[in-house]
Amino acid sequence: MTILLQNAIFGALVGGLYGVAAVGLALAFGVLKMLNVSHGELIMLGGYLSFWLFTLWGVDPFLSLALTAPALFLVGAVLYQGLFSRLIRFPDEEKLKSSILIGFGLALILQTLAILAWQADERAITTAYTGQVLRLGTLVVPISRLAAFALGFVALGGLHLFLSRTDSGRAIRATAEDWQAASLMGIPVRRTYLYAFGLGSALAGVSGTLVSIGDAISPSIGLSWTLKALIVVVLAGLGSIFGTFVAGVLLGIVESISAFLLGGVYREVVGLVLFLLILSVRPAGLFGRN
Amino acid sequence: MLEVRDLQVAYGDQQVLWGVSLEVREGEVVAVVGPNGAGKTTTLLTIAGLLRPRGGQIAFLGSRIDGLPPQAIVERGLALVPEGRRLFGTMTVRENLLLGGYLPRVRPQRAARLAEVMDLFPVLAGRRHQRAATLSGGEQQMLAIARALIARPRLLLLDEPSLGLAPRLVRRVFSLIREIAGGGVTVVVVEQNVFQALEHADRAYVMSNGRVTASGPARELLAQDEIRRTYVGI
Repeated sequence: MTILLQNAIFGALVGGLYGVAAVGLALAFGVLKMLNVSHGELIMLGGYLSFWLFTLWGVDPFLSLALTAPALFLVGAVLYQGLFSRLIRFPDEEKLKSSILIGFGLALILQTLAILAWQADERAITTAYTGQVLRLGTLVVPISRLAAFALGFVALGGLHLFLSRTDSGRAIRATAEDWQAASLMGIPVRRTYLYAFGLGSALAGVSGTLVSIGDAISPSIGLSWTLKALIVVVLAGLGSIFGTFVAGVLLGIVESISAFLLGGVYREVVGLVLFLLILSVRPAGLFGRN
Repeated sequence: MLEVRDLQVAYGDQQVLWGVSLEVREGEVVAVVGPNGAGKTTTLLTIAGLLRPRGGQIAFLGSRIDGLPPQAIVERGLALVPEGRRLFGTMTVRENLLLGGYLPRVRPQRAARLAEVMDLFPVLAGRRHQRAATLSGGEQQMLAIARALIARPRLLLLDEPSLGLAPRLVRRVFSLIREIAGGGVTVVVVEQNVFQALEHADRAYVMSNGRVTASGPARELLAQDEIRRTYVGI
């Protein structure tokens, strides 16, 4: 029982990061109706940024969040302006398909560039507090992962406040719901798209930093993060930030418990089975609005 | 105040407006009536900037607005309440109204405007924290009009405001239109409810098949036998 609970804790801590990654993907998807399948590569870039900031200048990875988020916002804004913005006038279905193609190409390019620049090796950040744990009876909770989980949650809380309390945030939600009606309110829709894509990318940056705190990073981690984020988005449905976070935690727990019970090879399978199950039983997701 | 000249609009290679011309003077209530598919909605969408004309000109307050994006047109004081209301259904009544006051020039007075609009529409005040999608049809129409009024437009375009409303609410909407006009806002209203529209408008245009087929003082049009037979049904 204890060992099961221990696995659940590890799973939940990783799952929180799935949640943060998924919210970034869902934000861009909900507003632009584009699926950025290079989201995972942006996470990878965020991770490397934190890694190098730590390795070269000793910047604490938690502090480097203040840099990775805006840096990835800029990267996202450039990618949007240079590539994705060309799709804006396409009909929804073509827009979605084309964005997936662009994203795949981009993912390959970013991954290759990362290998050229930093080699294919795994890198990890080892701070003074790496490996320290909190003991709860017989259970252990790694402190750095717990802090990463908490920070991810706080970042999403900040996003929630931004989207619900500010004019720019409401403009993003209005554009997601009905861009034509939004433009009739005087909202500059094109600029709003740019901000939404940038914000989604900034969240990838946050995810990347948080990943680098608890896990090793390498140029090839992108695809698996994109997949996790996709599964979580389908699991949660669109429209709820905290629903997405909870779905991420859920996926993390299910993965780690099934890996423990069935063996490590089933970790990925279970997530995909869950993905298909939700799609066939409740296509709107657990917390989605219609 | 608004001058539309020889407007040509097409969806793809299907032309739907064939040289529509209209004029709206300050302080008027102008009705645009006609059967389904006449091009009334297309005309309004083009004026508001959501469609680009293939030819012709639109001038508002003396300057050309055709080809400008919708946000630039609303910025100049021309607001559209679109067909089907197009509220932000997952957002609250209050949020919808705040978005109506999104324009930077409106924001400083937004709180005061919100209070004014709540006075004009007491139903909305009681439901301010309710999601817009949960309102009744009549309340949704009030909210859509209120949302457009927050920015205090000079010219308000209303597309089928009575669509789907009970007769009692239809009368309420039209008396509201007079009230708004009384407050100094010029109004263009597109309607299928031809009788009500002509009763309440100063002037009217009759459209069919993408063209203006008749125009004049609303009372005179209402008195014409042909229009009575075709649209009013009496």
